[in-house]
Amino acid sequence: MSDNRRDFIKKTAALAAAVSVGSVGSAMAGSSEPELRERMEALLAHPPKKSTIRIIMQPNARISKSQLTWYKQMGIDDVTVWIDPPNDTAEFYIATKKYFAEAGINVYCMGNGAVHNQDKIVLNLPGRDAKIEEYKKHLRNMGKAGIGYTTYAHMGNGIWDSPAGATTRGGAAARNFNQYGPNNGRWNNLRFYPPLSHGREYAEEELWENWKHFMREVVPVAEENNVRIGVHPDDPPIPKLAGVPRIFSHFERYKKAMDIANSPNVGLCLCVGSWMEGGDTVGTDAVGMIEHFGAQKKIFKIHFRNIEMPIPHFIETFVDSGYTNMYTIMKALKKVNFDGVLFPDHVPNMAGGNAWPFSVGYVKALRDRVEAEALV
Amino acid sequence: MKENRRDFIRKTGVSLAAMSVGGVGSAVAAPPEKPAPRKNLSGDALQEVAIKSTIRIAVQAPVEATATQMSFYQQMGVNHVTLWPDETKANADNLAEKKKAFFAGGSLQVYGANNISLLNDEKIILNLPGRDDRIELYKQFLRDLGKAGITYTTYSHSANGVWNSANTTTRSEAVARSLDLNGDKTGQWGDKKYTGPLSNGREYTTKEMWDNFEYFIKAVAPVAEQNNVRIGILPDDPPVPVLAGVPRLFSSFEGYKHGLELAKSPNVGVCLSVGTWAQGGNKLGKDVFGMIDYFGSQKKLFKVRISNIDQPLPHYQGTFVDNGYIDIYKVMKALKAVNFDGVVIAENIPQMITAGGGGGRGGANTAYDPSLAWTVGYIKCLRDRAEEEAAIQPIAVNHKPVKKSNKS
Repeated sequence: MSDNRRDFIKKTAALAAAVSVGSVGSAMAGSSEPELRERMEALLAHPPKKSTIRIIMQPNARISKSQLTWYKQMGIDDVTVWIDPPNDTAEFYIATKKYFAEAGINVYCMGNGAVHNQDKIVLNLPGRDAKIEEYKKHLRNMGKAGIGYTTYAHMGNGIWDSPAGATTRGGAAARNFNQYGPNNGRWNNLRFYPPLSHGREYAEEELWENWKHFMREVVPVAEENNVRIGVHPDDPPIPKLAGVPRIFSHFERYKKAMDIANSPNVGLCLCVGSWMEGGDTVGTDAVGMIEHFGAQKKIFKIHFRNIEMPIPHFIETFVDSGYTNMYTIMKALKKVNFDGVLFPDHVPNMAGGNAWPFSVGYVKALRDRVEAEALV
Repeated sequence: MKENRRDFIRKTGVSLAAMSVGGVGSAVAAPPEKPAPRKNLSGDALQEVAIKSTIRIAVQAPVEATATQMSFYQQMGVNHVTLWPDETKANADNLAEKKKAFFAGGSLQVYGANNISLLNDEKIILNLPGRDDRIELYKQFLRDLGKAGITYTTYSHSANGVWNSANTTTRSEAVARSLDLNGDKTGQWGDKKYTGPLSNGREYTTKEMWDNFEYFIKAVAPVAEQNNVRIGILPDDPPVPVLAGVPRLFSSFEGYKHGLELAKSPNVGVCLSVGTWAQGGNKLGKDVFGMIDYFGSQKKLFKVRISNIDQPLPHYQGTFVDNGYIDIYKVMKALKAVNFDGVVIAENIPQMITAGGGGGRGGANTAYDPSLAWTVGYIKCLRDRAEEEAAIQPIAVNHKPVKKSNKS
């Protein structure tokens, strides 16, 4: 593009010269040649900066190269990749980073499903130490591959949905959760059901102890390996589900968790969709979270999605169709000079196939707008 | 969506009532006794504004759109389509049937329909034998539209079609249009191809071209009025004064002004193609924004097509909407400033790769016209922004009111 622009300016100058000797053009008026040239020169002098708010996709580790070409066509240059064992080796991380780099795509984030939302870690169940070791291995692999960020979630009984399907605009199938209807948690192949997903009621204090232990173990490894960990909110951010407290479900609890971690390498993967699910029960809204933690440079990644309404019954929807105006989120990110990635995740299924392009287009326009506004 | 919001308020109210008697919920923590006031619900009010927007996003749908396609449009928040039937399908019964089908299939309104066969028609434009028959067919088409209750049609008046050089590529090898006036180029409309130096056998004069246009428009405008159909005239693509011996009338601001004065009908106006007009740079008397300002404030702008290009002629290449030399956001602002009340449609979209699946966690499956979806998403956001900003702060309109020359 910058090449195109340079060409343009060159050609425009030539064109302007031609016009000035009266050889081209009949109905001349409107914006004058000097004005046009001025505009072009301004473009050359201030080429559009690459935004620090980068929109990403979340592909498989070995997505086809043609799909990566498609990402770039949409204006996407970064991805987050999730792997599962047996691919949790340094070699695989390194090869993955390289595979994407060859297509001109940066692997910003790597996640490992086997060390995410682990009840052994969250609830201190037998096998905890082995799981924590596995997590450290993940961090070391990241360090070796030169991937500087990973998302982590700390839900003892997973992400919750209602099995009864829901639809949003145009009949698109969308995820929903009804607090008062049948619902259950899930992570990977595990399913969690009320009234007690893990046999007893856990006290919040236990979860804090376990978080403290986990952080004590992994923070030094994250720092040594130059890896930042962004903690995803509990989804949904309800203080307790099926007997298990959820500590990333409130502004104050996030603050406390960050205090415990006490590391520049531990921050947030703020899922604004999950946060909106909480409505006014989570201490401050998504903009408030961004203002607080973004100003501290504690936000590493954003999940950018919308919902029709908060709990007790939320239904996910298209970015442009929910109860939050996503422009306010994007604007807040720019205000705190957010420097990280933004994933338009959980897009409702669209008829006929791929639901991403519509959302990516919409979100990119929002991003481009706040960047343009910041220049004025 | 409005229904959903009402539901939201209703459901929230109900659930709070239920909680207050402590009777519902099993594995649920107690909600706060008194909900704190909501902070960031401004989106709700703002989106109501966008929903009521008079700048409506449309897609150019296949005449035989499937149920899946219709749902897809609706899911993108698109409520309008335009159709391009050929002459075998551009009759009253079929159009009425399609109108019904689109509404049933996706709450889609047919904003406009065109008869491909009667656009860029050499007989009409160059006064060739058989002209009156073609004009009769056009009038019949207008009557058919009227009967079907479709109130808009796009017309274009280029005797040697739309001109292109070989396709090029834009961001990441996406296939895009291009035209190099100094290189190889061909005109095309339907099955017909045109090349220089004389595409239509001889040099035509601007005078005879205007005479022919006048003859045509004066014949059809009354029929358009009687049948409540508006005709939006597209710019010549490319908008150069003469191409291969044939003058192009709708290639400058003055040309449009003259054309509409000849028509002298509230039912004849402009279908502005932003990408086409952008090809002209500053050589057309008014640029895209000037055109919107002038004809939009006269309520002569019936439809706007959106695309972008890297630079004006003599050699342009098509780009994605976010990547060309025209700021499409400013286009939306200009449309809002004149209270444009019509559809905008994406055209000439560079073709993204469609093969393969997206994959990944929560990932995608088979790509479905990703180029259209991405572009509609982008444009819709800019539309929403322009509407929301207008709702917050009215945009100053920096032009003088134009004296209406319409009979009405």
